Amino acid sequence: MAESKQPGSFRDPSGFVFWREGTLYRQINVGYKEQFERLARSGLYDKLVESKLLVPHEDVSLAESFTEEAYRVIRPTPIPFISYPYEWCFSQLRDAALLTLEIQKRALQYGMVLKDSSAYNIQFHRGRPILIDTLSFEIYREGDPWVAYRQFCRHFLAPLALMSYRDTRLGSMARLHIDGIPLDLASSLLPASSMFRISLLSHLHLHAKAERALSGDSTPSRKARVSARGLSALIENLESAIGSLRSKDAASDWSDYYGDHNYSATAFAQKEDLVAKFLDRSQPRTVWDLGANRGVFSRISSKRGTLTVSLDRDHAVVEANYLQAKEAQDRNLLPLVLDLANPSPGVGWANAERDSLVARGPADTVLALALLHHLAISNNVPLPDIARFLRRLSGWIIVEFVPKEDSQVQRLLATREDVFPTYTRAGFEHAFAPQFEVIEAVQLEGSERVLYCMRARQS
Amino acid sequence: MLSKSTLVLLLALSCCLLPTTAYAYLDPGTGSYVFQMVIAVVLSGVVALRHYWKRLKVQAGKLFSGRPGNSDPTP
Repeated sequence: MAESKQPGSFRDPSGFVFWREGTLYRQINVGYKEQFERLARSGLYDKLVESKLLVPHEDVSLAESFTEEAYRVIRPTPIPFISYPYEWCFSQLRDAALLTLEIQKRALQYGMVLKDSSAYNIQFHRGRPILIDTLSFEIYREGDPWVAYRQFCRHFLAPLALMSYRDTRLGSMARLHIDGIPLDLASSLLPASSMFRISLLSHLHLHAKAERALSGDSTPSRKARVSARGLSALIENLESAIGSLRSKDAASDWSDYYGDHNYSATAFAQKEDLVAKFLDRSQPRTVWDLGANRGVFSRISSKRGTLTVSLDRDHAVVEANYLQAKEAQDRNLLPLVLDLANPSPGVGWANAERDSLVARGPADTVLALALLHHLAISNNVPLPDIARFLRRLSGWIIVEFVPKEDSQVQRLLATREDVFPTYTRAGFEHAFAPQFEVIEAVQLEGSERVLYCMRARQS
Repeated sequence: MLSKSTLVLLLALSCCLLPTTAYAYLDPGTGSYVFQMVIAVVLSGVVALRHYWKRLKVQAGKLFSGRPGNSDPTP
């Protein structure tokens, strides 16, 4: 039987997640019995699942356990596409933070508390954030400080403050610090003006100083007491701190992209129709839209009920995409920040705790619209290499070739030498031929651009 | 040098202060715990103050509206 522990699931002695024959299970260890029963008996589990804040699970026979320490085995609802905090836009991280605090508040009402507040415990599912770690709950004892307070500040408050006060690109810093941004680092990067916000002054700057000052000290008498009222006030304060932060996004070069293109209305409509038609060809269950911008074409896919991951390297457009999807309650769209020229690698312990982009594939269909020239010309990636990479991502691609004569490509070549002799329609088809066969190719009306539907060759 | 009984008492007390959630596997950090204690006290104080200030405003509002005669402090 093909079974393996999920590589990132090892820190919590309460249990872990594992795979068997392609199905995801969670083993709950004997030591967590009391907490798990309290979670169920108190009504907290039902309440959270009903409010769609926690993934529901099914009970499974103990015979399915992975090791002997098992007390129970459950089968949680799987998340079809896993994403990580360093791929989220500001509002996604903010919504994940607010969800964590909301769950903490509810838990306290039922005599429980979150024992960790890692951003990796949250996933986006059907358009909204949800807690996936069922074993995150501990029994609350009045007087105990919140053990996950520091983790919350590192995973959520610090990156949000940096994306608010400095630059939204700092969200990807989380990739370098797998347990959240160290508070002293965040404090040193934030501008002095952040100290005028009392909540940031406290939870980030002073918190960092306190950590530093007492770093060598581990005497038990230093352990503290926090009343229930104090804990409540702390949570409320964190909530209002997060709620008051705003993304630093100014309009980027990409935010006005669709106002600034060279498609005629007919050509644009034709492109939309063709994308829809090509999607019908491949009948995908998951679609990745690469270089999606605000997700205009992603929505053609998501409207058909297909899970669509909408990737772009520019934070501002992903933010706009997410806010629009949230407003429309789009259950099938997942916008993420990702640079195709430098996609998320495997990170964490043994480079395996968090999966690379490629490891989270393949997608059933990939959209690569108005993208290739950015990779081939701006990033100097040879066309055959692009073809090979796309082949790893999917068996079907809908790709748009934009020739040099097009004004968008002319703009890319404006300040540099044209060292791309093979960047022609013939050169493109030749480069992709070893990997893909062309199912259909259509030149857009009134344009030199060509839209292709291609299927991977069976090697 | 503390007497033996005082030492035992102190040790017992410090154990009471130790949160012993068996499966709280995170390291909360000493500095962070101490800071949390301080900030929690400050914040619950602020919350309490806000609460009493609201009540004060409500009472003052009742005093200075609706019954003009009774609000006159002079006998």
